[in-house]
Amino acid sequence: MPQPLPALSLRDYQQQGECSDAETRQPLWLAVCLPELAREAAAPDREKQLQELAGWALQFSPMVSLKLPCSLLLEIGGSINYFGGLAVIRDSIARELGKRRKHVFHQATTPTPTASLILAQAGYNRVVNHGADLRSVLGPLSIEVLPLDDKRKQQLNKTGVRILRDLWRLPPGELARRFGTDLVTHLERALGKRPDPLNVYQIPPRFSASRAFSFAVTERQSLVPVVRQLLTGLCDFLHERDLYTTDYRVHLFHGQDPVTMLHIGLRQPIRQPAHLMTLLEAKVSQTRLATAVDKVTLSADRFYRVATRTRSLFPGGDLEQGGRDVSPLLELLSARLGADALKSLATHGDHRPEYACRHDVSVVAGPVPPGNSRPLWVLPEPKERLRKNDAVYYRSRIDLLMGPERIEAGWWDRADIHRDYYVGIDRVAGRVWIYHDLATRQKWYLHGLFG
Amino acid sequence: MRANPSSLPPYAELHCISNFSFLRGASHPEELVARAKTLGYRAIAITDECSLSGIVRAHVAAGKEGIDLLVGSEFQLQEGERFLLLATDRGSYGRLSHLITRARRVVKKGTYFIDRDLVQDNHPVGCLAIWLPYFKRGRVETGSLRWLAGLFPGDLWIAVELLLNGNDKQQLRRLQEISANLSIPLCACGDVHAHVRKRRILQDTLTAIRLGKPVSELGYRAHANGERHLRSRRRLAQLYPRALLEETIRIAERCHFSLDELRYEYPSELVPKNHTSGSWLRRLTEQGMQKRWSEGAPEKVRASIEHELSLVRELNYEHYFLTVHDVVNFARGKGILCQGRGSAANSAICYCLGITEVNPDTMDLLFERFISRERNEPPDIDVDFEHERREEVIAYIYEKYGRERAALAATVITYRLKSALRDVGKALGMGADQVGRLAASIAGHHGNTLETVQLEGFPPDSPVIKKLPYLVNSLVGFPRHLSQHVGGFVISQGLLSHLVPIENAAMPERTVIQWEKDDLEALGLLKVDVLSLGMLSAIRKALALVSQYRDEPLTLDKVPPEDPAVYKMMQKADTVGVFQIESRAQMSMLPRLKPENYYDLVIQIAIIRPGPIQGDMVHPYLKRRRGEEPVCYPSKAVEKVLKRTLGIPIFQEQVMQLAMVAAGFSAGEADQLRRCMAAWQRKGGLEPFEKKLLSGMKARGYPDGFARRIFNQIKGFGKYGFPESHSASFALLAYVSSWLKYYHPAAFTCALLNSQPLGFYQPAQLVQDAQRHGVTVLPVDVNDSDYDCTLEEVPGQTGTPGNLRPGLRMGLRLGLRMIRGLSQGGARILVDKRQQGRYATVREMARRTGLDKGDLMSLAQADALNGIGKDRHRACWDILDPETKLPLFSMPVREETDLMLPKPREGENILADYVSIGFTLRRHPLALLRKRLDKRGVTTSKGLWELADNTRAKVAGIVTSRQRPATASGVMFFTLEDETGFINTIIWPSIFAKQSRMLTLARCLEIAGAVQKQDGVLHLIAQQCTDLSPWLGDMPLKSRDFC
Repeated sequence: MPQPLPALSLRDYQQQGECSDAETRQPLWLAVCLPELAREAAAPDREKQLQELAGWALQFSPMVSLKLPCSLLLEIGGSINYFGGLAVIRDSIARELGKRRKHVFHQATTPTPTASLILAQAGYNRVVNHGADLRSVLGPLSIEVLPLDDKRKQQLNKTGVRILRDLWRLPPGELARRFGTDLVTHLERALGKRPDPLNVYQIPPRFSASRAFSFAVTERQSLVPVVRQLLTGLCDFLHERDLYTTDYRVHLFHGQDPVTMLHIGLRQPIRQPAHLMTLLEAKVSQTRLATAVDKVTLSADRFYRVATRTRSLFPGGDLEQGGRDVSPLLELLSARLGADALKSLATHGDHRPEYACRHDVSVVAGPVPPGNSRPLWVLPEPKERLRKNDAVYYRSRIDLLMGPERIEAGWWDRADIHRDYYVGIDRVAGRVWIYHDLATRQKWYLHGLFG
Repeated sequence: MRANPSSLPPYAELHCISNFSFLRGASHPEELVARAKTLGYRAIAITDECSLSGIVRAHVAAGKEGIDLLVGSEFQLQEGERFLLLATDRGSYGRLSHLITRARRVVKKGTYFIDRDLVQDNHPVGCLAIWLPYFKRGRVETGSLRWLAGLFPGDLWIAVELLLNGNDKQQLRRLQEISANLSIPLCACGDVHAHVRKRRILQDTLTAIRLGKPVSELGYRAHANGERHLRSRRRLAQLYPRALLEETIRIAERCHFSLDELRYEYPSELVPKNHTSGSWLRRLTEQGMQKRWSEGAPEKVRASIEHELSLVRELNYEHYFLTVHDVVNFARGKGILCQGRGSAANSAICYCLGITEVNPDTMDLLFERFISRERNEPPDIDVDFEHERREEVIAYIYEKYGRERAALAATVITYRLKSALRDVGKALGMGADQVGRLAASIAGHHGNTLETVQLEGFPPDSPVIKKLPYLVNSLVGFPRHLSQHVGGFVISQGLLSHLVPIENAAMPERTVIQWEKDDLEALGLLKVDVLSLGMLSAIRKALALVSQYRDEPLTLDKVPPEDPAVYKMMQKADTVGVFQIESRAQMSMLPRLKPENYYDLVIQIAIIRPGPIQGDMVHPYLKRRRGEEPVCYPSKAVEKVLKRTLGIPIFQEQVMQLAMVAAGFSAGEADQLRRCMAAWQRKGGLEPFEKKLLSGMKARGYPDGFARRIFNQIKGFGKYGFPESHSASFALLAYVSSWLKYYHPAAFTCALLNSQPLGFYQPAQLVQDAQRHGVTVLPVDVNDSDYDCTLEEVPGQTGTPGNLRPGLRMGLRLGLRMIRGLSQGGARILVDKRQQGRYATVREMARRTGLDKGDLMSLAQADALNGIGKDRHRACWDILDPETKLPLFSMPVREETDLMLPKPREGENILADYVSIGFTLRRHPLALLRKRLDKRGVTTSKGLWELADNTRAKVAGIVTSRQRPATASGVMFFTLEDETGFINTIIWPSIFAKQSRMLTLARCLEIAGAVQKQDGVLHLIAQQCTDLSPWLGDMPLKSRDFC
């Protein structure tokens, strides 16, 4: 949504006056550079932030271009008068950046995109209206501003070339032979002696659809047909663009009350309505509706071009094949029971019995302890046992069969143990696993039961 | 019920590894032996894994403790089975050692390979074998046992190792069945990895280091419990059937072998058929004597030679002298400079044999510490060779005696505080940044223990942090791996591998034995030290250079001795580049000690050592020398020992002689004292000597104060006392290098530059020093420089007036070797192709030589193309043109004379000089800053000399060295350099602490402080330091830091 135009100040009028007698029809490129972005954000995040900003900037010009890692280019020559002069555009960019907590930025405006970018990236907030002035403005800049690899920069340095002016004094053909045509092209583009094609930014696809109910819905089941409709819309959207998705969100609105959000994540990119619907139905049936729903929104914004699975030849085959591929089953289970409820049992290399077995989200076959048989059922907490007249009791008196197996381990964390383990027989409970705690000397514990 | 120890079954531990099974064993051999004795074991075997490298230490400890030591080794075959071998006598020991050698030699350093075939081919007949069964899920494979039974009939046992793994009873029963079926007896063993249970956590840590993962991830690769230590006999009696324990004694009683039986047999091929070793040594000595004294040797020398020869014959050392002589003779024949040093090296025999140049006629006092009858100590001769040609000598030894008979001694690389901290930190799962922080917390820390204080900032209740000091401190001193000794060769008559196992060194074609110097010494075995010395290379090169412009060739023996002008130069501390007396500390002593003759130089070299400094011997000596303190001796006997050093003990030999003369030590005791002196700071153990020394001196009527002072001096000597016998040889080289510096400074500097790296100074300082002495230094040039630096006649150069030294005619042309980044091959091609004519243009040079772009750029960067009219920038421009090397058309390329490339400015050139050759022949960088420095009130180093003592002054300069001598309790010495010379500054710990980071990193400093002038030595005591490094831009200045 375009923002309301700000009121013009006296300064803006003056600026506008300046511009109006300049050739406003000639292209004028505004470069915005956010140096902090390159330092702070990770690459994907950086691109996302720039994209958002580019989307916002489209209000000023249809020609917006992203220059990774941290710059944006806008062609504003055509629209400068419409918006009331360069200063107005610059100010509203500054304000918008302020809102986005980007306090360090540079804006440069020149007749060529390359020169604007060079200036903004070098930290100059310059405005150059005439192409003829570019040479003198760019001349004193260090060759560091050029997009050259370190090796080339060093080589230039070794020939004594320190600033752009040094470069312009050299014969272009000789320069190109030593440092590549790219350098010469770049220099010529900066001066507007050569066209400068750019990738124009386009808003990435995003799906969002909603349905408002004329009356508030309280029944979970009543939501299903509506959601199915929305989902069909999403699938059509995906098919039209040949995209797949890995997750989507359903928002349930309850009048003034807080919105309920359902997030459906998938293990693989997909676009089969049947599978999507099954998951969603499972999720919806798990959701408790605290209050009535008056509106439903379905949205998705993460898309992929390639499906990682080959589709079945027969319709509906995807789900039937679930028997071979556990993914849909696991997805279904975790949609029904909640993501935390699904875990697998794994063994783990540790002499300490309580650490040798772990519940893990991934299925991993770990190492098993060497030598000795361990009870299948290890108690999560060892139980202290009574000791009377040199005998240990559980259900009844325990006779020791095997042992001791001495285990001393765990000094590196807070669970250091010193124990002598025995296999014993309890006439009631059968074979038991007990230990004598060497740290406390006196105490005996039950730690496991053999089947 | 507690059993009475005497009723307990006797026991000998037969399976025990020490920390010489690297990163497995968690106790020193000495600890194991001592603990076994304490526990009342009858004997203990040290059975390191395919190794005997810890056995000598165990042997020495066993002798001291009075317990029997069995020599053995543990093996794991490729097929999987494990077993022990124990030596029963000298023959079986030799075969065991040979088997280890074979297993070690076939694979790379630090590993071994052994399989059934190898054991069969090198059957260690006579050894006793103990099979180590491996149980897997209650089952045990007996194939390997049957195989062993075939090899060791009647000499094989089955080890029963009950380690509380839960199945002890079942396993014992199973082994008893096997034993009964195959009629092979059982014996008890402990699979010992440590001497006490407490070392369990260290053993886990070692496992983690070995496997390269944190202890928490070791899983079942860590031992389940700490039973693998030396357990009490009561405990063993509870666990094992009595018969099994008693069986260990039967095995121990069959092992008669002791390392004391090892006798060294010298190579005999050096003696001609019709001679005995004695007669041949006499013949060679007499021939040498003829050469040394053509008019006949003085009577005194003849007498010493007779005395020495009879002593050598008595102790059977003839072969040793003959071996050293042979090596030296080879080197001489090849024109390799060499010189012997050490106690025996300074004998009259060695002088006659040409092993040393120290003339016994002028140095009679040195014989006092010649090999002695009472002390059963092998003679000590170290021979230094030119460092660039020592390989030829080593190759000769290998060729002459073969790899089966000659090998280098090992050096055991042990954990030090920093490496222990790093490895333990990693094993405890700390991240790289935490380990880095830990390492930083001990930076500048001189002790060898980690204290809890240093762990500030780490969570104190973390179990890992709590264990850290124990683990680190136990690990410090643990052997980590074997490396090669700098040059100690052991050469034998028979197969060396029957004396000691030999393994591969890291260097290809090198082999090392498993024992180090101390081990050899403890067993009385001889080694020949073939060392390398950079200064000898430099001296040979300087002599050759001088010979080029002199009418007759100059050789070492033609250097005129005792030249007063040379000593005068030394007295002014004008000794940059001179052997031994060039360091900052030596330089500040020279004007005080004022050496006037050779023997002063011997003292000068030995006195600037931590020993004499810590023992507080320097100042009393100087005072006595200047006559400010009377020279007195408490007795005639002491006078004899100390007279040559004015009553102050300065040399290691004197301290030992004092102990003998004044406190009644026997020669053997004095020798023990010497060893103890070296180790007491690490291990302690000086106390018994203290008592004996003090009481001995009291009994002989020496006052308590004197005795106490002598003892303190001994303590101070620590391991840093310097022997006179070494100093005497070094002094010769110090004199020769001084003489060359004085008379032939260009040749001397040229030789030093061509022998880099060596000495205390960087090429930058050497070149500047030469320039200050009037030497014209010429830049590197593609048309004039050789690979090495060279001398060329400089027209009009006659030397400074009144100081017309022949060497000053010559200018020093820097060689292509000075250029960083220029390949040696490239430089050689450049010189070769120049024979067809001088290079005219960059393009022509590039095409003729075919050098790659990297080499060409290095030449341009060094400004070596300036001679053909191309400054750095233009030269680079030409080289970067791809057509320079590969012309598309053969038409002449237009030389762009009007190319608008910027010309290099002076500052740029200076900077580029530093980048490319490490120094500049233009103005000193500080000269460029002088105006700005003047405004800040900064004085030059020259200007400093004009100031009075105690004046406040400010100086600035490039930091060329930082030192924090261990003897100076935290005081730092910084050397700054400006365009007029050096400035020595002293920085007290309090000043350093405030700006330690800045002071450690700064390349250029401004220091304000007080001038301290004394005896012609000037220091600036820093009060305030400012970092001026940013003024230098990107200039890559390196200082030599010794802290």
